[in-house]
Amino acid sequence: MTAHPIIELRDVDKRFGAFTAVSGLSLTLEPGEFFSLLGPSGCGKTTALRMIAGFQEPSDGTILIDGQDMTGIPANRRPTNMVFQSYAIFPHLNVGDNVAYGLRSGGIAKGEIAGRVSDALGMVELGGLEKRGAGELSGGQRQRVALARALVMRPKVLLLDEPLSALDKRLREQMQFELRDLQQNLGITFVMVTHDQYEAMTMSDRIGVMFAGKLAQVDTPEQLYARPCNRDVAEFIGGMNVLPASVSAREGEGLDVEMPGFGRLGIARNPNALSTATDILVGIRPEQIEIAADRSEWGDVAVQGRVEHVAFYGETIHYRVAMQGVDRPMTASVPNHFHTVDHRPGDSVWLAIEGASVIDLGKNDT
Amino acid sequence: MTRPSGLAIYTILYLAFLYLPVLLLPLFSFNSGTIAAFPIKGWTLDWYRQLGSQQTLLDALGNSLIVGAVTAFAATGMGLFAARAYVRYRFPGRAASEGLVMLPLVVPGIIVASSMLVLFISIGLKPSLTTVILGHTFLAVPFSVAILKSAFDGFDVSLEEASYDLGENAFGTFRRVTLPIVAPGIVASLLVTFTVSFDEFVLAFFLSGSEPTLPVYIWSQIRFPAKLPNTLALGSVLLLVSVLLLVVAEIFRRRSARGLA
Amino acid sequence: MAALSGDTSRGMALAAPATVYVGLLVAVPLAILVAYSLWTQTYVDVDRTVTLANYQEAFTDPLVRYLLIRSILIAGAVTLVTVALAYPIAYFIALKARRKTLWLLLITIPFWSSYLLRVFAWKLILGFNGVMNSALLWAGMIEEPLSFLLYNEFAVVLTLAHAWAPFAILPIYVSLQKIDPSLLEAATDLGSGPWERFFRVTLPLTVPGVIAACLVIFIPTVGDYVTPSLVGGSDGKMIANLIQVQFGAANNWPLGATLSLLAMLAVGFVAMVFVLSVGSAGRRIR
Repeated sequence: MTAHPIIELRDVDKRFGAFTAVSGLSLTLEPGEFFSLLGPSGCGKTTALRMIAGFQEPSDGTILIDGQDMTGIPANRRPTNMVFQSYAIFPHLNVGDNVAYGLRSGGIAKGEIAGRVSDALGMVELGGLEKRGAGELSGGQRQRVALARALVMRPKVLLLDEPLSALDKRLREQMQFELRDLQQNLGITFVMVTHDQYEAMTMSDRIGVMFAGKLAQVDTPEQLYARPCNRDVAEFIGGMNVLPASVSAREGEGLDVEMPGFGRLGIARNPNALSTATDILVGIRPEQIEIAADRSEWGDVAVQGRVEHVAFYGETIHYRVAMQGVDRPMTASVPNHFHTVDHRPGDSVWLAIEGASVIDLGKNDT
Repeated sequence: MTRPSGLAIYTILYLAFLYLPVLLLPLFSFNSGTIAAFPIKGWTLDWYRQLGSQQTLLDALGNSLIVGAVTAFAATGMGLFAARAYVRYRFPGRAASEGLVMLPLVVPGIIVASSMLVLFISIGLKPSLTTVILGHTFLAVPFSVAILKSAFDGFDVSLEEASYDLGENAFGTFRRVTLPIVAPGIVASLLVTFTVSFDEFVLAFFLSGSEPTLPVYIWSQIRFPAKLPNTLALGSVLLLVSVLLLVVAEIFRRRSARGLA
Repeated sequence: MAALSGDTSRGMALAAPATVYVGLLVAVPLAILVAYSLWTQTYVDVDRTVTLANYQEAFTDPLVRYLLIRSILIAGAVTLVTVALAYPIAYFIALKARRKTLWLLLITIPFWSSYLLRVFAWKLILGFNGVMNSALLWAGMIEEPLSFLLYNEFAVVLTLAHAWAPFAILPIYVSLQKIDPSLLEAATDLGSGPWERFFRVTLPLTVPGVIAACLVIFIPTVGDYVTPSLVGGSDGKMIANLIQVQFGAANNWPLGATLSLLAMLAVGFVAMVFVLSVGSAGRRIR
């Protein structure tokens, strides 16, 4: 049991010529955790992963794995193994030889290799497929072979570069569960890079959200969802209605805000978005807005509006509503309990919200 | 600049090896001495001046140009259709056809030459420029197919589908969409097949009868030491022309590629 | 690859001209060659009674056997030398060089000149009074001209190794290019250093390119005529020279046809053995 974090990035930068891919990245990962780096394309998450793997050297800063400084240590000598986005299955080797590849470099006895390969394939539910050719595998099978090949090396950290992006939806959802279970059973640290927020949320213990080379927030999925530190994070994770507001008073754990259209409201302070500004942004999740034909008793404040657009998602129904006094439309979503779509485009409706669900998103920079 | 790697040094030495014979020809073509040996006796343009006045040489040049041009168009035409078929369509025997069409590349020259000579004589065709053209086209088809296959490979099929969708018919689509995009490949094929024919010796030697092509003419001059400097001058001109053709082809190809990007 | 629906006949029609042209010019001359090989040459005419006399003569004549074997060995040597020297260049351009097109251009430019001229240039270089000897003498590095440079097998191998260089480099380059870089990264990730990566991943994946290069060089070289004529001298003659004589001065076309066919069969056989053995050796690399 190690006393120190399994991975530490200390102020890591990576520049490619004039372009800065990663800037000031500092991160601490605990052993046995499932950690995801989440962000839009080009945010630097893959570069960060590749620096941990050793395929890139940081321009500045240090990376430590299990307490050891990795500066100057090449990828083939790090205690990490990677599942590549394209899986990188060796086309000239069959499944068994692919999985055995890394073991064969290391002078391990043939009998032991066969045993370990067999175990690894069993772990990913491809038992007995050693002789299958690389070209005869389906996408899902290739992914599992890549996984087995990496895990058979018993790395301290498993790195996954968008491992599920090439799979179709159903397979992806199934693999999400399987990967998570696998990680929990093995107890190894997994670091996954993805641009899919739902994937990150369902699988991870903690998520690091990145934009433009910088780490915006590191938190558990629940915290990220409930208390995003700024507008970018709020909008990236789940849907979010973002509105301007002005602060009339701050006291203790709460703020008094004035929201155009809605009026005055007391909301909770967001410890992740500390700000003393008067002009702030606030966010409300679509599922926390009540939509009804008449003004009901629910909620602290309500505004009237007209339905612009209805989106039917099967499980939920999303209504986009143009509101009186609010400069942009808001989206409210309701679960499809009774299998009826209550409101149609053009209908007049009331949207009601509670102060407790309005999230302070900090200074309004727009 | 960091110290060049061993591999880079090896590459440069290898390049020197590749260029050595080819640079020697022009070097000694300016030599006023009549043997190709160091030290160089003096510099002169005489040998070049003499080239223009030799009628047999000019005749041979004319023959090579005719043969080359006809070969280029014939081979490129056949290659264009075949390449499109290989890349776009599935049909029984496609793999066999693709393999067959590449055969001329690997059959030894002497075999092609002797068997074609036998064939043409048997059907009453005497060795002449026509037989050379037939032979050269045979040799050039694989080059054309290879170049045009890669031109079609990079071609997005949905461009043609979009053209159909917008109402154009097959011929119009070919003319307005396919052809312009594949044009650089066609030009490259024309230039390559022309050069293959222009430089080819063995087939021409067997099949040209009384109207020699340029390489056959050069062969006849090689055994005369007195004609060496002339041969060098001619060879250097041939060299220059071939290289210029290549450079033009490359510029053309790049400009077209940029225009379409 | 999207094929426009129901166009099998379209495809065949398009491919037809090239296929038929090449096919005819391969099949018919071959058939006629076979026919000629079964006839015999009298003083003035060709006797068309079918006989295996030519084959008998070819098999029993020690010169034929000698030249054929020597041609195969020389071609083998040329193939080996050319491919071995070319592989590092292809590797450099495919994996290390930044302006690949420029390098490929540089490699091919010397060969946009007549093959005949290049062989002739080597004759000038390697001759007793030639460029190499005169340069070495002039520089004071030798006292007498070297006589082993020209008119022997060494000259033939050197000249052909030069002539075939791009044909070796290009197929190997193409198969190196195709290697997905993430495969090499995966190999690194699994613990392989640069040499191990090369032998266990890169090399096996380039076997098709290497085989293609070897075939493209070996097969035509066995039947090469120009090089042995110009730089081979009497020591360096190959089977093609003998064949040419039958169609020329000796005027024995039937024998020429026979020798051509035998040469083709020999080459085909050797090539097949080569492809099978290299292929299976490559497959055994793990």
